Amino acid sequence: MSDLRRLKNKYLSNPRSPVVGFLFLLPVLIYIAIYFVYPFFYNISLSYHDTDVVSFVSGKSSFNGLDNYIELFTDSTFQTALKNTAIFTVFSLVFQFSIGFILALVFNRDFPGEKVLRGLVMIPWFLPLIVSASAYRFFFSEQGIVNGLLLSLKLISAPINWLTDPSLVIWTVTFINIWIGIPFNFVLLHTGLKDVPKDLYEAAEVDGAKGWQRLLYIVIPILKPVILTVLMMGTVYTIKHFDIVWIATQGGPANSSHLLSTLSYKLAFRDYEFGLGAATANVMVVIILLLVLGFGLISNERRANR
Amino acid sequence: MKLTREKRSELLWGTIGFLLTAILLIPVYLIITYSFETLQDMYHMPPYLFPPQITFEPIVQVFTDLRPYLMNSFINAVGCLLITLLTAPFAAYALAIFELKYEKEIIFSLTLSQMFPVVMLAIPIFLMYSNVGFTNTYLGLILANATYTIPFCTIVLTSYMRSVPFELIEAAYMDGASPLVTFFRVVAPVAKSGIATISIFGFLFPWADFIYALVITTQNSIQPMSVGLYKYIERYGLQWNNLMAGGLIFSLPALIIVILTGRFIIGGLTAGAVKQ
Repeated sequence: MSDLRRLKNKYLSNPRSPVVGFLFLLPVLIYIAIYFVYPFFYNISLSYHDTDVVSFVSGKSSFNGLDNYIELFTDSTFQTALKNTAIFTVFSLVFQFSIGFILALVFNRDFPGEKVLRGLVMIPWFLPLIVSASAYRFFFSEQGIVNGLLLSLKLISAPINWLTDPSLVIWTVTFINIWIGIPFNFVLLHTGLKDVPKDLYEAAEVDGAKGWQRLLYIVIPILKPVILTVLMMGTVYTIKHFDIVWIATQGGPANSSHLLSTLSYKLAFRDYEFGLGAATANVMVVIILLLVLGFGLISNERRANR
Repeated sequence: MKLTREKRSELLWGTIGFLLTAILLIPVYLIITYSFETLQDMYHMPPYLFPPQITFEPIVQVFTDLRPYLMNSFINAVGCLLITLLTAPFAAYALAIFELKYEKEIIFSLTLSQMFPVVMLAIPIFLMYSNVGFTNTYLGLILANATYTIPFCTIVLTSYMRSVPFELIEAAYMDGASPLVTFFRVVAPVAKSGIATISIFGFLFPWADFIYALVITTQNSIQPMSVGLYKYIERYGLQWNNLMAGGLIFSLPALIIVILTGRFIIGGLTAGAVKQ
């Protein structure tokens, strides 16, 4: 009895007790182990095996070393997907960020109705992607509103195959993704801008600094950590993006619009080549980790330079 | 009447802000108007700015066709919200208040886990589920969807809980409250805006999920609305007004939540992203 009381006192009288804390954390740790750590290693193992439906069911998939990776890197669809992912990511980021930044600067001014409009700007980001992507699939279809408007204005003489022309389709899906990502960039940059001290701004104005000078020499340096975070998160989210492309094109026509994510899905769940699908996903993970490491180095360097 | 400089600038920026927002929202406007148009009017050239005649047929039609999917979406989102609320707040409490070994490493791995591509998780989770017969179950789908919410909500809530005054917690312990009672009586009430925020994400993320549903559910009876709509395009490819109406119905919960709780969402996003 006294032992129990001592034990109880030890753990329950210290509000920071590591043991109690660990117990509170435990459910999340177990979840992470099952749904992140195990899949992570399982996926690595899959990528070194020749796993299709038959071998998965029989449990006898053979180890084939780097074969999956070699097969991928020599495959033209994979190369296209790699190139598409680069186009999709770079152009999405450049435009989402600049448009989001412009919006953030505009909304940094006080004007009536600012709050309501700011809420409305968020909408594209919170529409379920199946809704926005399939709506755009109609807008960009042969008889859709985009062609309709361009034809009515006599800017084109025949409808453009936005989603069915292999050389065009990746640009169309990138456009859709830019639209969806603007609010995210906007919100984080706008919140960052609010932290820029107003008197610093006014002092610069008194000193005769022009709008763009204040932006370049005051706002951007102060905002740098926020900008880095937004760009890093944007890069990661864009590289792994799946929904828009799969809903709008399923990687087609003729595999011309695959991203690494849609290709990975197609290999695993359409072709039932789980090994190849896993290998494609792992290539994405490596790319993402390298980029995050790069961003980490940049922001640490900044800190060290201070 | 002469406007002051300040008023003029307000008017100028207000106009610019309004115009930019309007341009950005054109697609949303189109989704809404198309939902109340006949197919014929949708294809009219030049496009109508307002539907010449309003019809509720697409909404009624698609609601009849897809109601079970909508129900599944609710089950999935509410289930995921519950699981998130049963786990993330306690973990956040632990990370914010308690002295833990490897605290930094745990927070780092929670952050890292959000960088994994969903498809990278979906392949092994699907195979894992196939082994134990967990595909085509609500629980299987809900737990997979929690990969969106549990790490994210834990991180967001941890930053909220760091601001809970430690004196309050200490005082509760002095009064003989157990850690769990302290959590419910002291920590949760102080962090309630944080808990409200993660509840929004805990519902919205699984609501919008597409890929897990596509991978894990193959039976109609269990598929959520995202897959229902996806199949609708494939099956009735030309019924675009019905599809827009379905999209509108599916978006409504998200739109209502965003409009009502925008400031929580923004607070949560910044807590999750910038303050790390």
